[in-house]
Amino acid sequence: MKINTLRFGELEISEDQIFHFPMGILGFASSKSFVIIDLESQKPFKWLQSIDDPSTAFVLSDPLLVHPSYCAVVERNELSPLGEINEDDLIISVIVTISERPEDTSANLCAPLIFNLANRRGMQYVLNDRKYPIRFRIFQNDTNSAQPAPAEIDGGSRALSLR
Amino acid sequence: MLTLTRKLGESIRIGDDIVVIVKEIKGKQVRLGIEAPRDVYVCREELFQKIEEANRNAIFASPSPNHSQSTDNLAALGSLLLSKQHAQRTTSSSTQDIGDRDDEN
Repeated sequence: MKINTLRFGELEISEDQIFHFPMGILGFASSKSFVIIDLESQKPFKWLQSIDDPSTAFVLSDPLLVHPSYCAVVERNELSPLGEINEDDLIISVIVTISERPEDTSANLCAPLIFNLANRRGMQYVLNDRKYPIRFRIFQNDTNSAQPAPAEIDGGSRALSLR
Repeated sequence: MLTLTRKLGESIRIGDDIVVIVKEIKGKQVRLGIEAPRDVYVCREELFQKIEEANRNAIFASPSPNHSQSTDNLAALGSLLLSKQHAQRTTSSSTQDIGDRDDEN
């Protein structure tokens, strides 16, 4: 199927590349279907592009890249939008807010996205503890693109602890 | 807005499957227990609003044809992030997480 996107033009994707977010993403409840876009030139970032709305796309990162000791404690019974849970199938990712100034670029560590690769469902999970901020500055101590193609989400299940 | 008065231990029901129980009253604080279907977001209103706002900001700030931000900026930030990770890996001894992850990939 073909989808329209604001940032990547028209993309050809197949059904099995779609992630379904039954609850949407907070503030974007009408976007239920997404695809991952991976551009070689923008590694390690990936995009979560809405299929329902061409202009809705989030920049994602593996949380361990922005916070090497990150560990989201997640209640198993709160993951029911993801269907049957097998911990090995879960991938956790965080939404990045880009800024012209690297030091203002932040990642939302408080409300990560969790993907179930087994059935290709996803959800935004709000952590119960207040340990991680919504705006975690990635570079707080620091100061030619190829044709985009749908890709896989990756990341570490190690950044996630099921309870 | 519907306003109801409840005592400790009493509850209210919203629709078929949402119940809110008053569990504790201490001075100006009330502890509430909430039973709701799993596909309903339940969290503190302030937190909910902040996350919605953060999600909207994330989209607004992400590089797009209608925005002054160039996609080159994202590429540059990506390189910066990778070099930061590289620096951590080579200088820090507490890189167990990263090392283990690489083994999985």
